[in-house]
Amino acid sequence: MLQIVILRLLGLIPVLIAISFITFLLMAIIPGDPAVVMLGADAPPASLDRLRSQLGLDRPFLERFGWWLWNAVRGDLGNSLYHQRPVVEMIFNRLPVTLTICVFATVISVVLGGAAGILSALKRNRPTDHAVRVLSLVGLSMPEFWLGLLLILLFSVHWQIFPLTGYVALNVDLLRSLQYYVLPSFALGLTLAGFITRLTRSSMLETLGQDYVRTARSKGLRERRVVLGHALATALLPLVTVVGLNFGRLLGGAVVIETVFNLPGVGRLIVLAITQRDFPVVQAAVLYVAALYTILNLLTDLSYALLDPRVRYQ
Amino acid sequence: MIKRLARSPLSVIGALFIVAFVVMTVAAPLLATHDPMELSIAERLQPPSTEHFLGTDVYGRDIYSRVLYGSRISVRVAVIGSLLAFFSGGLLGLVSGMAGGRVDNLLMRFADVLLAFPGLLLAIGISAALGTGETSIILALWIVYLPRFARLCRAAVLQVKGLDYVQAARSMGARSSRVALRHVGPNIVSPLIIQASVYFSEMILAEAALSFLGLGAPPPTPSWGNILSEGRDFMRLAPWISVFPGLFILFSVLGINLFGDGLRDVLDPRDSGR
Repeated sequence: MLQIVILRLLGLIPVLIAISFITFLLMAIIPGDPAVVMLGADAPPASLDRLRSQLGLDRPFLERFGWWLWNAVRGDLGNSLYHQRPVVEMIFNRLPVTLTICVFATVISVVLGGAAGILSALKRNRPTDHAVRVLSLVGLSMPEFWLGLLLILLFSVHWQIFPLTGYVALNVDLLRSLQYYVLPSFALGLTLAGFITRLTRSSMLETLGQDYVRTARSKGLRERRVVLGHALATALLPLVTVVGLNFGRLLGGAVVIETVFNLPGVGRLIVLAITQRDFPVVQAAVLYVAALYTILNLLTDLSYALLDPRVRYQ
Repeated sequence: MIKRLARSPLSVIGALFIVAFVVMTVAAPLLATHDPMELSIAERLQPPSTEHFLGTDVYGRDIYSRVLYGSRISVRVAVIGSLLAFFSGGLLGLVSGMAGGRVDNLLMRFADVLLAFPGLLLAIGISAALGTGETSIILALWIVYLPRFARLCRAAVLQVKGLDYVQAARSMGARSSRVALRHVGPNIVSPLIIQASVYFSEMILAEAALSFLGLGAPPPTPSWGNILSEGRDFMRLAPWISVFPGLFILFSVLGINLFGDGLRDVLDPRDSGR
């Protein structure tokens, strides 16, 4: 097992280099000159040239990428062009916000979606089942940023239960901070819950049809015991994969949700840095998010192998 | 197949939503009550009324007409994006699965790299790099969905490739291209079509998200995402600006998903009822 983990981790290195290269390429062709963004459009050409040369923008693309990669390997991802601060520091300040939203959203989606899926499977083809199926499709079809705006409209503007905008860090005041996380996490989690509901339902139905469940029933066990004691664990197994794989989807969704709620997360940082042509920030933030995503996918694969002995990895 | 689809009430509702959506898009100039770009400061932030069915925005533009015209961008992006990704991804997957070996390895590693980005993030990066506008969103979504189709198609090819009738065609001396196009291709179309309906609805949502972030069609051209985004600052004063375009997105995507579900039941009977 350890050998597999090490091999898979080594396999991540070329993927991360390729991700960096693609991001670097995109940033190189993006319209707009960082020197002009920093000094203004009416800056004298000589100053612009000097700044470009300071930033290394006058060197060939591959040379710039080589230097960036060399520094990145040593842990230096450069400074923000706009804020003149180390990029790594900026990302680490904002990563907890994004991860908190994603974790809360995952919990919300698994609890709601799991429960709804099981209920739907147990009441198959009855009104409850039809209602849950339609509701889960509605959840899947809703743009999360629109749901976010609706939640703001209802819970912040109309009923004033949650604060409208702003942010308090988790380590400053936990209770107040959580208030700022509730709506964005629900906006992101509810759309995913639709997906989880469908998956849990279908997996539960499949499990309930298995021989060992019939054996449990024929032993005279109560339905409650059959479902909770025998079927549930097997039926929830595919959820591990889906939750793991969807965390990346949540990371993408967080970009938009952070914009809606004005939360200082990595997603918002990336969008702002793109508009400010702050390339080192975009480059590093995308690398972090993509690395996180690939590592999570790897962990999902491995955890699945641990949970289901039939899955063997070569 | 149509008969079986018609028996499922949810697919019929889905189909009705899709028809309404298509009519709205095609007949936008006939159905619109105002010029979607026409400014009228005197009528700014008006609530829904008989004059302006869905109210007006901060420049006094008619939201109903803007939403109708905005649907055109969503449809164009999703249709062209899905078709491009379906055919190019399908072809790459077919080649990869049929060829195997080095070609397969190379193509799939390339797909792995593209799949290592969260989809929306890659789309944001590509459309930012190519400049705002409809074409760059289409290209961005194409690049995001191409490896997804390729993967799916390759997996389907690998399943079919070992079956007896394909082996039989080979042993009769059929060329690889003939085996791929005549024998393997037609038998893997079903899962691709089912998945295409899922991706189509995802593209509508992604287009809205990109426009919402300001990467889509530049204002004053209406798109569902940018109308929604413009209404964000007026949620207290004029919630209708954001609420209605969102409802249109919801119902069109819901229609496609409902119909897609019905399609899955018909094309893949193993899963039906689940």
